[in-house]
Amino acid sequence: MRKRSIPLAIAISFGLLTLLGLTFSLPELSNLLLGWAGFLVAVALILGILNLFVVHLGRLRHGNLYSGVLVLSMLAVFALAFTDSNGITTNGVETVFSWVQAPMEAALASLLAFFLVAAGFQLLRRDRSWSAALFLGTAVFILLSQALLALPLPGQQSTQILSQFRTLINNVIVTAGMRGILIGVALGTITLSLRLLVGMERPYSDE
Amino acid sequence: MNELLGLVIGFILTLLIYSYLLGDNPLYRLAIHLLVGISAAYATVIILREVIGPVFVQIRDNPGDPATLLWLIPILFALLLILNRLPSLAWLGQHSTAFLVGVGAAVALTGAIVGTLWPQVLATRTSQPVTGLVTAVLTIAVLFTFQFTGKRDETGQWKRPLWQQSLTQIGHAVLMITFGALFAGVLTTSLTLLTQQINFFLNQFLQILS
Repeated sequence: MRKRSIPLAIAISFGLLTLLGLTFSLPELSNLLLGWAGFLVAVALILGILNLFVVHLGRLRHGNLYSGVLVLSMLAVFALAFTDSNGITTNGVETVFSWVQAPMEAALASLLAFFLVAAGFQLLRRDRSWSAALFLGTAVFILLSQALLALPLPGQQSTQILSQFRTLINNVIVTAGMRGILIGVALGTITLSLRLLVGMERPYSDE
Repeated sequence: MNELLGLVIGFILTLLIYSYLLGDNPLYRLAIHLLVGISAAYATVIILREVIGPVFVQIRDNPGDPATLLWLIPILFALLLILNRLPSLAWLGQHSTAFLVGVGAAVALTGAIVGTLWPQVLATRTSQPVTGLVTAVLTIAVLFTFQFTGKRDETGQWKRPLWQQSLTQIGHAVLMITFGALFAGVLTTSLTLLTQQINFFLNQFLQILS
């Protein structure tokens, strides 16, 4: 019983205190609690990363070479951080970031273009419903209109019509769609938060 | 010399990533494992330097300060979180998770009301009444699309009332158009990134060659 009631009391009391601090603009209270939460999230992240390290160390023992690359790269960055803090090297960690991490992340992000085009074709092949047609039709129209508006079209009227239609889609339909999604997400968040704050949902317990 | 070395390493790693276009292969997997390892370790270093380190420095420098003593509460929660790894004491970790859930729920609640719901409701007021009205009606139609509750008919099938069915169809169409426009936006952004990446390496190598 106590095992279940103490976490519930902690969630409700600290949740209500934070709500009090944020609603009535009490920065001392809200900053203190948010600082604690930030610290705890940081510890949880480090525990997760350590778990990743231990799991891949285990896989390396079974001969997985990719896990070896992961473990070695982690150790290399930790070693550089250690030498940086002792003044043996300067900006070692930052150099690894700009030489290795940043170009790879940029390459992965740019690879998204190919995946998106492939996904569009897959959708066209598998799902031939009106909603898929509307989705792809809008995407193609927006892409084409972007290209066509940048080019000089014969006659100003056609450019104007194209531009007006594009504005109508963006300013009315897409705005309404985004607003609907955002309001829907906000209503869902409010409902779930209230359920958590009154203890109706307890994701932290085993129940 | 250092710049050239960094450029060559970046170029080779970029090629390893792009090799995925030929299908899943060992070079791509190697690059991904390298990226995950370095990103995780980099995140750890930054967290230790910027979040955890300063707290321990404060405790070391002002051990008797009341503000410092207050930090013992999150440190206790952190210790309980570490105990989560031990099966017999894992239940103690629930206290730390409960703290995070409570604070997170309060932040999410305030953020959803002040940061999303209220600004979105206010934004429906526009200078053009007709456009504003159409946008508001379409927004309501989209919201009806997310409604999944209702009554069952005689056959036990769940059905929306007729007036809701047409509104939901309109909402569904609006959502599809929105997703199409978002898809086009993301595609344009990633194409821009792709051309920038190619341009960057071309320019750098041309500069070095000249």
